[in-house]
Order: sequence, then C-alpha cells, then structure tokens
Amino acid sequence: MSTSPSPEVGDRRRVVLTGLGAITSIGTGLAEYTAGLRAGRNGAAEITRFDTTGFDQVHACEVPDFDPEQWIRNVPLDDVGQAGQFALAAARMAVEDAGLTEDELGDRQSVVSIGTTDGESHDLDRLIAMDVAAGDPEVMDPVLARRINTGRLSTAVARELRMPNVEANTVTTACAAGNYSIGYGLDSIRSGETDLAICGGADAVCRKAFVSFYRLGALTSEDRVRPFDKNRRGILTGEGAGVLVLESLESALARGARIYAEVLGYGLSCDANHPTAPDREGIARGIRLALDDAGVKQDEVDFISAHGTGTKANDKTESGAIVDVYGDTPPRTVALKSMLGHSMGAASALGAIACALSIEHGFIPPTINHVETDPECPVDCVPNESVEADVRIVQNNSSAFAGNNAILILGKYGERV
Amino acid sequence: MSTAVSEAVAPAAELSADQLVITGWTALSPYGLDRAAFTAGLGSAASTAVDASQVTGTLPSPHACLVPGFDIKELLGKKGTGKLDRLSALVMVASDQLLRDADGEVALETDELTGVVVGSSMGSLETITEGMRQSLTNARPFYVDAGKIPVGTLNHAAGACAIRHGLKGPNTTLGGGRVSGLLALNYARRLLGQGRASSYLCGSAEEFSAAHAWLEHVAVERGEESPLLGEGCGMFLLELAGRAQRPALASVLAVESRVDIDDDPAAAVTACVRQALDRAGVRAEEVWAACPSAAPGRSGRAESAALDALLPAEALDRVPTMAHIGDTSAAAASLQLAAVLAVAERDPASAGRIALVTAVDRDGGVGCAVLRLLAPAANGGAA
Amino acid sequence: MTTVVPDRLTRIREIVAENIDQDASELSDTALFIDELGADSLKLIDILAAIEMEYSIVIDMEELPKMVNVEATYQVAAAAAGW
Repeated sequence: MSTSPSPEVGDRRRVVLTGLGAITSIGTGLAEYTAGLRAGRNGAAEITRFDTTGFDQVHACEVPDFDPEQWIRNVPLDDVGQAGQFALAAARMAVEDAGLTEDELGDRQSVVSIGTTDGESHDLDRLIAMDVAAGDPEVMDPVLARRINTGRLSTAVARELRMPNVEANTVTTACAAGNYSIGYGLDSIRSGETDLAICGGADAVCRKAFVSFYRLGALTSEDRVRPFDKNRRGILTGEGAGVLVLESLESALARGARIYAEVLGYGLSCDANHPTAPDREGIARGIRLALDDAGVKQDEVDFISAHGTGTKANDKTESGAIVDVYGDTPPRTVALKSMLGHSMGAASALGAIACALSIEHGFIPPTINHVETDPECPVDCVPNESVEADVRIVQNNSSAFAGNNAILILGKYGERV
Repeated sequence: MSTAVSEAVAPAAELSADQLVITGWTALSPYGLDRAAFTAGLGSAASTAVDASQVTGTLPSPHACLVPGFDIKELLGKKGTGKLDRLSALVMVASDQLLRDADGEVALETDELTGVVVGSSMGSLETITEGMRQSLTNARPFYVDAGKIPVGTLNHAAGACAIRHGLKGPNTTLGGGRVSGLLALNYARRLLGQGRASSYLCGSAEEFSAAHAWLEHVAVERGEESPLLGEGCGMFLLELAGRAQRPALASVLAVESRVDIDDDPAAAVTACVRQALDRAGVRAEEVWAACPSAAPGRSGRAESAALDALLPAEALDRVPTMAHIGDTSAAAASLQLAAVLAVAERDPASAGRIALVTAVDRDGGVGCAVLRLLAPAANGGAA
Repeated sequence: MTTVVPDRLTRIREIVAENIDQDASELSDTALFIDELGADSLKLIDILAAIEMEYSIVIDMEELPKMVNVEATYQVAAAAAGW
C-alpha cells in the first residue's frame, strides 16, 4: 500500500450524499423505508412474480404495490423490465430528494452507475418460457428481448433524467454490486472529473435467482430470514432498488443542499479462492482497505451493516472477518436482510441508504427474527428492536459470488475535517 | 498539446508518472486464438463466418463468426473445466496470454492490488438460459445442473480469472453492450488513478451461443436484418507509466462516454468524440487511425456517418473493418482497441500518432477512447 | 445398508466422476471426495443434484455430509429412492 499514489486523506475532494431513493419490500420512499427499518418490518410474503409449483418454499421479499407511473415520466414503461423500473423510480426519487431539477442536471457531466445481480432475468425467464411452451424461439417477445442487456439499467436512468453527458455503467458484480457502484461514484468525484454521481443498485425477484439459491441449499425453508441466529437456515430472495446522489462537498454547499452523510471511503477485495464460498481473509482485507481509505480507526465505527445473508456459511465467515479486524468486541453488527431478504444487487445500496438514514435520524436498525445468537457469530446483532443511538460512522458490508467484496464507510457530515 | 501530425512526440520515457499506458494486449477472435492470429487475420478481405449450426443446433441464420479451435479442455486442461462456460474460458485464456510467456512462466509480477475488470453484457447467456430451460422442462423445477449455477453468475469470468492467477485486487464486471470495453477501460483508469490497483487486466468478451443468436434475432427492429454475430475477447494490461513493468505501447489520453437520450446516435457519437478529443487535447485532424464498432443496424450507420464527418478519411481507412468478424457485441470495443494496436505494431510511422476508437450500443450508450501510439512492433510487449 | 445394485452403483460412479473431473474407471468407491479427490461442498451439491435428476428422487440437503465417497453416496441415494 505504501506505493499508492492516491492523495492523502486530508487533501482529497470530499464527497457527500445529498439525495436518496429507496424502493423496498418494507416500504417505498424514504419515510416508509425509515419507518420500516425503525419498526423492524418483515418484507417476506408469498411470491406473486412466478409460479412456485414444485418448490417447498413459496416466500420472497417482493415490493408490494409498486406504481411505476408515479415516478417514471420520460422512459416508456415497456422499454425496461421490472428491475429497470425499480432503478428508474429510485433514481427519480433520489434526484427529487436532492432537490435537483432536470434543468440543473441537464448537460452536466456525471456518472450513472447501477449495480445488479440478475438484471432483467425475470424477462429472460419469460422469454425462455415462451420458447419452451411453443417449441419455437421465433415466438419470443421482441419487446422483452430488446431490454434484457444489463447496460440498459444505467442508460435508461440517464434517459429518464434527461442527462446525455453521462458515463453510464452497470456494475454486474452480483450481490456486492450496489457498494461497487457507490465506490465508483466516489472515485469519479474524487478524481475531480465530475461533481455528481447517481449510484445504486436494482434487482427484481426472479425464478433464476430463486432456483439457483434453492438448488445450492442456500434458500431457507422457513418463511423468514434469521441472520446470526443459531438456527438460521438460509436466505429469502428479495428485490427493490436503492439510488444515492453523490456530490462533491463544494457543489452541495454551493447550492445549499441537505447533506445526509459523507462518503468517507470504500474498499474492494477479491478472494481469488472459490466461486461461491465466502472467504474470511478476503472480507477482512476488504474491511481494512475501506477503513484505510476512509481514514477511520476501528474504535470510531458505531455500527456495521453486515452482508448478513442468513446462510450458515456467510454469517459465520463474515463474523469471523469482523472479529479479525475489530477484535473480540466489534461494533454492533446488524443484518438488514432479516427484514428485506436478499435484494441482490440492490442490497448494499439499500444498506448504504439505511446507514445514511441511521446517521440522519439517530437509530440503529435491528436484526429481526432473532431468537438465539450463534456462538460462531459473536456479534451484537441488535436483536429484534432498533435502538436509539448517536450514529457518526457506519460500515456497510457486501460480498458476492466470484469472491467480490465491497465495503463502504459513511460518516456524519461535519464530524471530521 | 497541439502537436501537429508531422512533429515528433514524446517517447515513452517522457511520459508523466501517472499517465495510464497500455503495456500488453491480446485478442481471441474469429481470426484465431491469439494476438498473432488476430494481427495476421486483420485486413484479410473475407468474412470469417462459418456454419455454426453444426455445433449449436438450429439457428435463425446458420452463419456466425466463431473463435476457431477454441477447445476449452485443450486450452485450459481437463481439471475443473467440466462445467466451465465459453465466456469465462475466453477471458481465462486471454489472461493466461497476458500474464504468462510462451513457456508458461510468469511474465508480469502481480500483487495484492492487481485488478481485473471485464466488460460483458449478460455473462454466459447460454449457461443462464440453459438453467432456465432445465427448470421449466425437467420433472421438478429445481432439477438444474448445480455446477453451472456459479458459472451463470454475471461476474463469473472475472472471478475465475482472479482465482486462476491469484489476483486479489479490485475485481469488477461491467455491462454496457458494445461500449463495455471502453467502460472497463475508464473504470480501470479511475481506480488506478485513485491508487486502488497497482496494475489492471482489462478487457471485454462475448461468447457465441444459440441463445444469444435467437434473442438478437427476435430483438431486431422491423426492417433490419438479423445481425451476423461474432465472439471473442480483447484484453489489455494497463499500468501507470511511472511504475510500468513493461514498455508502453500506447498512452490512454481520454475515455469519454455519453448516453443518446434523443434517439439520435449520430449526434451522440459526434458529441462524445469531440469531448474525448478535447479531453485528450488533440484536434480531429491529428487522428491517424480510427476504428468504429461497425455495429449492425441504425446505430452503426450513424456512428460511421458521424466519424466520416469528423475525422480525416485516411484515418478511417487505416484500420481494417471489424465487419469481417461479425457483431462481437460486448467484446467489440476491446477488439477494436486491439485492432488499432495491431495496425500500429506493423507500421513504424505510427509512433507518436493519435488513434481513436468509438462504440455505440442499442441501449443508448456511446463511447470514445483516444490513444497516443508509442511503440512499433520491435518494442512491443508480450510476443 | 441396502443391497447394492451393480448397475446403479456404476451409474452413480459415473455421475461422481463427471462432476469431479475424474475418469470413472480410475475412481475408487472408497476414495474420499473432499480429502482425497479435492472436492468441495459445491461439488457435493453438484453430485447430489445430478443423482436426483437421474433417478427422479429428492435427497435432503442434510444428507450432504454423509456423501463422503461413492459407496456412501450410493447408500444416501438408495435411502432416498427406497431401493
């Protein structure tokens, strides 16, 4: 690390969060999402998106009552699938929350980066079902076929916001993608090349993800997710979108924007070990890189929003990595997936938003469905009830298949100079 | 920075320490399995299309441009490749070619910050759709090939590449259709600039499959023909000049991208190229070689028209058309970059000249990279 | 322990071999998947899934740790199938 040419922490451009948009199974919009996090709502319900006949699991955390027309104005709804609609709606919500008008966005040079695990795999599932049913691929619906490429998630956001001067990338690093996108926005603004980045993640409940986790034995057989619990059985799939407006501090101050939190830093590490198994050393290295990048010491972190999927392997390995970095008394470590299920590419973006809201509103969200902490997960997971707390610095974890780890650090703006 | 075409320019030794440089490249393409085959094939007048339906089963049109002789087990060994997808295999073989020399010895020192970034639209579409098909047609919906599940994750190729070579730095997969290769290049540029990586393997890839062919076939706009599809992988070794382990082949002066929000791809490409030239500090007349994506359909025609209006005709003639290897989709921009480097390598007059690559995608993304070519073949990177 | 049906044992050996990149002819029925053949839990799931599909049966994932070699895997499959 000593060879790193990056500027010292104190000399860098500072980057803040000025707008948030959240579409989730426990509440759409910031007020509802905040209330859901505080109350410890459970987003799990019976699946409506696809036929679950033949599975002995019928639950997922779907977004109820999503009304795309409330948010999406410029892009025809048929141009994107369910994940894209979530992304567009959350992006619209975030820029409105930031108080940025279309005129202010306009031709401004910026980054749009949306992370995803499965993109529009729900559409792909439907296309294959058409082919299978007819025995002829010619019958596949062209409208669906045109919108399946992952790149569209981010270009459609740019089109919806009428922003042509945008670097639009879709980060497909699976379940760590949201943090990757936010990190890329941070680097883009730090580089001085832009003042604005619209970043986050989106995914929709789909048969592909459900079958995959089911087959790998990672899906719980219960109707709830119990991270860090001795009797946890696995994940429930989930969905939604989280989009954050990242802005240089100068830009935010110049226009008198509300600042939720400062993006202090992030870390990316690759396990280079196994395609699906989590890796303690890789996660710990990611955390250390993030703390270094943020210039934050271990004892300054108020809580950790864990990747916390609720699988045997993840929660044990992740807890181990946290203990490796923080010692035997780590900060409180909560798993939002107990409420949201695993919203895949949206997960760490929604985690980052929850962290920003916890800083803004002074509480730590709970890990719900918790009965008995697993001794192999020696963390205080804030069981079942949120707690009031003066939250200053938060760490948001994410890990993915392929050994991709991305860790984000947010801090209360004004706490550090 | 208004160096005239005829003037000598800074040799590699005079680059600033934080200048992003390309120090190695390879290309697996319908021309062949490696860089030499790509260079040799480039400029041949004929299409590389073959009858692919013999390997894949019924296709909307039998022809496609496949990487010839791409036998996964032969190239990567039998162990651990039983469930491997073609896309990951393309990326892994490309990474082997960049990191190991002809004798299989390490050709580049890697460390804990060596990064990997791969552009790919949909991962292995064949693997993903086959799993969906199994779930729908087998006796039970969870009767799917479990070993293919990790392979059907969109970031598998980059992760497999990291496992193969022990690369623990930032590991990223980006989707952006035909712009993917340029988005990957800019991603690596930014993360190298921020000190998150010590060097980068950066590229983009596409596999040909029946699934891809049928989806592209039904997606085609009314009045357009189904595209002739290709496949391949272009990959680059990126370093900062001050710490480069190998001679610089080209400086990356600018990578810009935009989104066509008005269904006017020609205007979007024009704006993007102007922006990239501005950022690079060079004039359109200085461009010595340019390579458009030659994408099928309206967007590709608009791209060509925009470049014709902006750039010297001889620059556009200097790089052979990419049309002979088909629409290589997410691999396209990386193979275009490779083509520019291949042309530079066999023309000593290229040293110091400006090259430009553009990309345009159905989903609205456009991109442009501007390079300064630095080294003739004799000074090139890996053989 | 159920009586071993040779054809089924042969087929299970083939399935295991396919999924751990070995030659069926060289695969011993007692060689340990993880300790001797370098398999991991993902490979075991792969084998379990393939056997389920082959015989149209369902094997509880809890049985995974018992599938230590070809012989034991046969017994797990036999119990699930009621052979």
